[in-house]
Amino acid sequence: MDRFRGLLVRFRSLWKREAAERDLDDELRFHVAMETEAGRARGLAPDEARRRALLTFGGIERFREETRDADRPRWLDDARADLAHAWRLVLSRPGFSAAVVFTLGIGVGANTAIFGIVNAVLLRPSPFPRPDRLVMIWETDRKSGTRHEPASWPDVVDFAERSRTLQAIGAMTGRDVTLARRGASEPERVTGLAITPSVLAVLGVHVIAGRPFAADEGRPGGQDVVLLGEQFWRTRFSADPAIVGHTILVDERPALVAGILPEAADLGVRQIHERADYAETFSSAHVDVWLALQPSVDSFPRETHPFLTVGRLAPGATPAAAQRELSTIAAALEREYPVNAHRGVNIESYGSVVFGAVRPALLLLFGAVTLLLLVTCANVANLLLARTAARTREVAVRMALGAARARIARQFLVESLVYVVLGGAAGVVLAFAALHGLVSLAPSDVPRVDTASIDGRVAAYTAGTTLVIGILFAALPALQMRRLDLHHALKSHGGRLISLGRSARRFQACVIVAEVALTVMLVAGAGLLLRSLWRLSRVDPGFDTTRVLEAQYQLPSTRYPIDFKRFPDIPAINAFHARMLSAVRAIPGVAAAALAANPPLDPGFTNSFTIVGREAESAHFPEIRTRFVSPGYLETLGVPLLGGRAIAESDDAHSPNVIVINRAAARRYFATTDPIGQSIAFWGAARRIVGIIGDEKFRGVDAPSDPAVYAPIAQAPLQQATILVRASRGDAMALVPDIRAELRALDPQVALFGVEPLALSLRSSIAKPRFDAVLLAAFGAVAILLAVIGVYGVLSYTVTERMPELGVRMALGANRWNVIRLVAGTGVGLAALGVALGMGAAYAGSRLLRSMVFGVSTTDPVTFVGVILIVMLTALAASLAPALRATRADPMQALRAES
Amino acid sequence: MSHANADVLQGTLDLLILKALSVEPMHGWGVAQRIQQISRDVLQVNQGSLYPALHRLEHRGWIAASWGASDNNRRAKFYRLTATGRKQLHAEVATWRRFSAAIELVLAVD
Repeated sequence: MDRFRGLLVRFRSLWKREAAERDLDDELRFHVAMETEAGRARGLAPDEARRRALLTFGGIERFREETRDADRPRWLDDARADLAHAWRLVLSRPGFSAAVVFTLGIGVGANTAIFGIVNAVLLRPSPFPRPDRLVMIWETDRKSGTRHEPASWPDVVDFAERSRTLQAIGAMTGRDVTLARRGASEPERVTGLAITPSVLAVLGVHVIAGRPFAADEGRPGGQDVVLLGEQFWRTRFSADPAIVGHTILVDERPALVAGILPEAADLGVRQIHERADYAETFSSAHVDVWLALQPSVDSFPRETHPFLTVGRLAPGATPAAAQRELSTIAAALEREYPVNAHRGVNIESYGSVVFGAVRPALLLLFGAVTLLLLVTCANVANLLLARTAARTREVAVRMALGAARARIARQFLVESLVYVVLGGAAGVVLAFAALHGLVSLAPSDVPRVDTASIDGRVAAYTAGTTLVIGILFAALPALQMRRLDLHHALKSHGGRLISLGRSARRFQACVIVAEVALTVMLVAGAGLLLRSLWRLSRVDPGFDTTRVLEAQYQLPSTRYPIDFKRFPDIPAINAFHARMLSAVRAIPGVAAAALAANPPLDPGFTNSFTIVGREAESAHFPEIRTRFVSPGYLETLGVPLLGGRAIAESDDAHSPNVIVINRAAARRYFATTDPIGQSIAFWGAARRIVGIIGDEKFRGVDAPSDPAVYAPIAQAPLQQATILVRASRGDAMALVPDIRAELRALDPQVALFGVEPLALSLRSSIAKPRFDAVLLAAFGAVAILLAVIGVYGVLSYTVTERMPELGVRMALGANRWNVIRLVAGTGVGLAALGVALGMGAAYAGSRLLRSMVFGVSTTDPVTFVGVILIVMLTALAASLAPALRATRADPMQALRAES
Repeated sequence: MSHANADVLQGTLDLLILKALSVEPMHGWGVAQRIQQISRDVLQVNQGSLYPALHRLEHRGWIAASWGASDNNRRAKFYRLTATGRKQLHAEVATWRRFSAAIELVLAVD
């Protein structure tokens, strides 16, 4: 306690220097005054008494200095001296220092940038209170085996009414809408999310302006209201709060802007849509506009399943309890409603749905970048070690002069810390640049990746990492110094390099082996992902993207209503599609064009169906993927016709229903019979199979093609359509202005959206694996480079050190080849050991990659052999340069130096 | 970290200061006067070493300081012995007794 008080006094004197100084002056003044008074009491004249009093001090300044010394901690002065010394050393060898700082900067920078992403995506607190209480409620279908189906509206209502384990349930579905503001000329297609008002309560999000949806706005006939997403509000309405209370046109109907929702409120919406077996397309990262769902049993009967359902667990309830309870409810519904036959419930935690897909990839990247950091550390450790060796003599002299080992070790600590702090600073600068690049490269379906930044947590992580590295590095040379042989070090003459001790050399070899091993692990991982990416990019998607573009439009139901009584004869819609298609085909430069309800690679939706004549058997068939396309689809996309005929212009709303199936459907359902001429029934109508076509990919190129049926779009008109256009030459995107003009000519209120080359959609579909593979490959490349530098550095050093010995060997008759083999053999030997260890670790760790590779085994021999070759050859190359230098050892000079 | 003093004189001064303060808290000038008085003017405390010593002892936590008013109502810094300081005083007294006894023994040999 007293000791602590003493320390406090010292620190006070450090921080409050002026106050301490004043106190000291006061104390001395008091002493002089007392002494003067004592003098006067002895009968001295006042002046004389004062003079003598001052004299007893023998110089106030010197005295002050001494007292001040007692006040200031000694270690602080030492630290300042060490720091100055270290700084001079850093500056005195700019090349070496730059190498150390740059290497560390890469390691720390890459690590910080990836941690920044991990932090933003996985670690930042959820925008929702108690996110662990949120669950997704999926419906299952035991018939088709699907486990992530959206729910029907009546089911949602029944779940909400009967459940006790869930305190609230909300339903949502993606719904892109065309938005127009009064007076604004061009309508705009924006990403919408239709929700029941309860969704906001379930999630626990609050408006940042205005008010949330009222309960009656979620009922049929309620007022049309919208909430704007924060980002959309900022970019389109310049964050003008006055927009609240105004009316905008949503799909040509006026709707009141009730409020603004914070940007984070849409966390997970996209991942939920992707998780569903089928759902409305939701491809944007953010919700632009939130719409109030006003569902009724009439508009959304029990047989349609459009709603993604989210619930909040009641206090005390567990997900398992909710699963049990809802399964019981689902079983009751099965008994009550025949249409609910085979339906069950699947409860998943919200967190696993949102982050489940991205977590392993991010952790893999983080692991990889940590390996890279270790490689850079190993490299820097070797550099510092070599540096210590060069300074053995300096240290020996200082120790001989009486410097304590602890004092010298401390100086090394300060030097290492200076390097590490500089490296860390370089790393942070690099991280800022890298993070920006990473975020723009990252696939957009990674939740909240766009919020990644270097925040307090990332900064603290980097500071912590840097500190640990600094302490490790400081320990290194200090440990070396402990074993320093003073006698030996002092005896050697100036000008000759003092060799590292045996233990130091062994340590250096270990560092090289470890560095190579880490590099091998990293490169093996990168190799597997690259091979996998190569496989993915070579998968035949079933269609040809050359010079093809896609664009979508949506007809507003105000002016293009679907009357189900006369379906599929909806003249307004059918006529619009037909006129649009023929107008586009007439544009010069268009080789082929077609319409489809969903663009290629959009999974679209599935339907239950029966094969006419095989009804009993059909009850056990899973749902079949259902596509609606116009004539010309096969030509435009290059999908092969395998049998029968394609959909023709004559297959319209008035002609008999026909259908084309893909090869997967033919194999699955017509293995023994000829499908052509048979009939498939769905939506209450039998449709005769007229042709068989090749398999397209629907759910990403890594998933097998599902059985699918293609119906003429004229026999199942929809308000949404994708127009696919193949240009006869050049860039298809050059046709976009003409296509826009044709659409505007037909209806100026309909917007064209989602315009992009089909090749780009195909590329984007593998954006996530590409992101992982490219990053890992970059890390691997840097690691190889560092390993090469490491091997080269150590061998160069060894050669310099062994020059005399090599000279003697050559004098005794060793030829160049012997010398090369001797030197390069060391490097290659170390590398081989590292490769063996790294391969073992990579083999053991390859299981972690299982969920991330496609079309290659995680122990793919081609990759592993390739990695061995690459690393060994680079190690050999790195060894050859020093080995060749060794052959230039001059026997005469060597002998002279040895004497 | 050890504070062992090689300097015997300095060590002695520390001992004298601690002893002087063991009776009552006082300011630096008072400490010097007290030592001088009790030793019947044999021990003259050099002010140049008194204050560094006082500050050093304060940093070690053996004595503590606070500002107060002196007898003649001036602002003065008063030092008092802490519990650690009292322990230290006992230890130093014991050491000194052993030391001086040993010196006596050596000098007693003829």
